[in-house]
Amino acid sequence: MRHRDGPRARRDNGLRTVSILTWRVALFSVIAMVALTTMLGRSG
Amino acid sequence: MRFWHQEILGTPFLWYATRAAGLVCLVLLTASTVLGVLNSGRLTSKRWPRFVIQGLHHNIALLALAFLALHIVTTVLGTFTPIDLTDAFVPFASPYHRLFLGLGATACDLLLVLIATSLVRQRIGQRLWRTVHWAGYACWPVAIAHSIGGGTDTGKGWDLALTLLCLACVGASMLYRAIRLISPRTVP
Repeated sequence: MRHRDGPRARRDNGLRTVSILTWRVALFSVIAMVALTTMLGRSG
Repeated sequence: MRFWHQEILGTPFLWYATRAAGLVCLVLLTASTVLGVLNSGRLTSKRWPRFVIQGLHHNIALLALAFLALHIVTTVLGTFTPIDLTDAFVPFASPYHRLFLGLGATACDLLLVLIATSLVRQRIGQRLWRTVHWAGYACWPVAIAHSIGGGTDTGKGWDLALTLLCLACVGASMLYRAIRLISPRTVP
């Protein structure tokens, strides 16, 4: 299937990867921030 | 009568949030630096083409900026330290921890310049952008120095492990870049 392997498809897949990974990093960062704030609050 | 925001400002909650935001910002800045160095070393594969690495480098730098803003806002709003908004942007202006707070303000200014010039890259031209982007190599170590010297949690094991991990990641990417520079280029 040509359209699945063409440069345009590769570009679309790459952009999707960037988007998904960016959202995952953002979510992980927020969770880390909340967890660290809680941990620091408990340890004083 | 006290309002809800006065309740929050009066507790150390903002101080904990400041420290947490600073650490998350440092990790994001490290990730962005590593991706930037790998991209300049022309790392590419079928699964990770260069535009993917470049896009992630760009987006993670913007995320680091968001957490830097949070780090600054919680520091300024909190009553735990005598730091105001000027001290966050003007290096070495505050008498409070002058050196390490000054390094933090320097890293903040460098990051702002890096991101601003990247957003107008098409207008300012590739040469000027590249020259300014070399400041990125100064931004990260200055931020690390601010974290080590000014960080409240510096002596703790988990903070030391996190800092060493950041140093190892950037060191490894720099090594990769150096190897790519001295090895002859192969045409794929």
